[in-house]
Amino acid sequence: MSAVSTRPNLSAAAEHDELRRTVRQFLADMPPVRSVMEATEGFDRAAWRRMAEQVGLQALLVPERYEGLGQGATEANVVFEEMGRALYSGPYFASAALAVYVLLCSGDEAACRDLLPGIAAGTTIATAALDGSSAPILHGHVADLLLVTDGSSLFAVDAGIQAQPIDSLDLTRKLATVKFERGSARPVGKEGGAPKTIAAATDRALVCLAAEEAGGAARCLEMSVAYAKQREQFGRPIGSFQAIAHRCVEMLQRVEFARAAARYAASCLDEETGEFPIAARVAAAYCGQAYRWVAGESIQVHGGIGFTWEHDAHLHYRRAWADEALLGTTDQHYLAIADRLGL
Amino acid sequence: MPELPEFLAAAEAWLEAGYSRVATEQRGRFRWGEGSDEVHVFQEPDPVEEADAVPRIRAWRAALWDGGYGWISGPKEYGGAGLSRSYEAAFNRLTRKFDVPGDAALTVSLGMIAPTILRHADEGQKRRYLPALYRGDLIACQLFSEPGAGSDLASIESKATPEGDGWLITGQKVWTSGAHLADIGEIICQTSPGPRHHNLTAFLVDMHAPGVMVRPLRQMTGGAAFNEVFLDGVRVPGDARLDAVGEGWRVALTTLSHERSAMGHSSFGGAGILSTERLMELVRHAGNAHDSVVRRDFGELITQLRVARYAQEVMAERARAGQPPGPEIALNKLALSANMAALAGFVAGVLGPKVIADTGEWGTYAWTSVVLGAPGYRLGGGSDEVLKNMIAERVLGLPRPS
Repeated sequence: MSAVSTRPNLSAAAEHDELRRTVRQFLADMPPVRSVMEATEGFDRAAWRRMAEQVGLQALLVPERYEGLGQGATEANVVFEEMGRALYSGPYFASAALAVYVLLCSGDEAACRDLLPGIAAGTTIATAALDGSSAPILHGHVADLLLVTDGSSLFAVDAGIQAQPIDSLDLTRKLATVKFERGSARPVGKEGGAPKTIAAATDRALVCLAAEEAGGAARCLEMSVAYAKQREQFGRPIGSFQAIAHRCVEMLQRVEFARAAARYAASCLDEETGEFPIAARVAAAYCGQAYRWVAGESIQVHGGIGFTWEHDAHLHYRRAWADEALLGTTDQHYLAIADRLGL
Repeated sequence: MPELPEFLAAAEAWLEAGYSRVATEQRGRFRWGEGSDEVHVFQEPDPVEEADAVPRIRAWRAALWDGGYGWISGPKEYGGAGLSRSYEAAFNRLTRKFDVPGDAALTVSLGMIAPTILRHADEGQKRRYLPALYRGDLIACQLFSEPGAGSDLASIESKATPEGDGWLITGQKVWTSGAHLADIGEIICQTSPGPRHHNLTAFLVDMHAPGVMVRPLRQMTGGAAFNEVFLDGVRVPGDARLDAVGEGWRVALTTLSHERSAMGHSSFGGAGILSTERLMELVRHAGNAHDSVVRRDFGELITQLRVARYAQEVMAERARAGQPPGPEIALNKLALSANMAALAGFVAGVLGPKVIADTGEWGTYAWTSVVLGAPGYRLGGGSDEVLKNMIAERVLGLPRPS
């Protein structure tokens, strides 16, 4: 019996310290994001392979019957916070979360059996274009597998993909224009089933994105506080001025609440609570706004140095603004919350 | 220790025997146009209603205590049931299914003063006060702020001077919630001229003692949720001192940390005014449910309210797992004052002219109390600005702000 529980289980989070340490260490050992973001592909393929072989992160959300690790959103929450902190530039979110959730939510057993093991092993890089338009696609230029929709049905394309990376605001997460042969598309899920699948997968992927945003915001706060302690003006650390100190506390509040919102939504998903559809959009809206605001204020706390190309502050700022347009804007999330609550 | 399901089954049977069930469809449900449309921002009940309510609350506490549910997470040696906080939380959720008086009026007594006594009192005081507080035999208030000591609480000037084997207290306290109902007050007094933070001592003063005068304080909403308390040569016995002489500041910090936690608890509003259903009904009846700007703003407000709740649940879960919150608990209070201000802005936008004049229409002008009450939330429980100083120093490790 799959009883719908009414309360999420938040206690599991404490058990994930080990997972967090592993992921943080792995990301710290990777080539610096600045060295890879200039490259055409925008990420390091050798590190991507190591991530799959040594840590198995690409398999995290893939159920065991499709050769994955079968972990839940709560574990993914930890991994995505770390990804966000590190501004990981590879196609992890697109492949291991978005594409995985689209396939799982499609309910297409055969497609899952054929396609998920490759994604889990990291040998297939997948991405999804869910708005049916010709908008740029996340990591489209490195994708082996493309999940697309004509607005009514879903298709998987794994051959004849022609992609062109294009200039994008977020330097650490590339977008590409993509063309493909319609003939090579394989239907996924029921005919006409795309809107439902996309809605369900989007809610799930948004929770991962929210955790990533919370992690990015946490990193911005860390950098800001460290700088405020060390930088002196008027003969004392700028962090001793209320104007700076209070700003840092406001950043802390958003960071802590963003982390809680993403974790809570993840727990709702794992426990299948009735609040999940609301919690997912609440987390998406809150974390998106929080990251954008914290990243912006972080530049201000850093002063002039924060506005230089060499400082990482703008990489977070770019990521934060880009994130907010990735799977619906904040206003769209607000409207979805009103709809879903039945207003 | 009983398993949680057994515990809850027994508790439900106990509640069933003494109280009527609230019909499921009515439970927590807001119905437009039914009953009072009052919007409670502070506890400022009508004195007549209050006189009626207090004995019922005391009887409820006594029944709880005698039934073994008065202090579920409390240590057995002081009459508690010695169970974990998760049992207490589960029991509290269970009580919402029944028509019981509830503990809202005892937030200070049980949420702030009792935990302070548990931490700082000596053995005799614990045995004397804790069962009495949880049983509702005693109600406590908090005597901290003074006209000259608000944000700078350590500059308290009320004085306690030794007299015989006791003390003599003289001074003036302000913004005291529930002083007119209280039997005892936790008071912080100066017991020596200095040094700062080490010159204060805490006492439990008998609020019925000669020399104690309580006067209602009318706040800008028009109501009087608080009091001024005048103490003129009030004699307190030696065993009324809480913790050592000179330790008053530490005692006060304990109470304040519980206050911030207790205040933050209302930031998502079990109290009703932040209920999603109530807000949706307001929007529908104001006729702007189809206005996309209002819908967007509603989504934004709900986001802020829910996240405040999620953050508290995550903190509470960490506490149950053995990581009690530190000074970051004050973030919840910052969220509360921000949410009250956001709520005021939202309802004013939805109601338009109906919030500035009482047309008699149910559930409209009543919201002025949020508009008028919101500024108080930024000040109470430590002003937002003072709390930010505290968090900057103690959570972020920034140099003491100036």
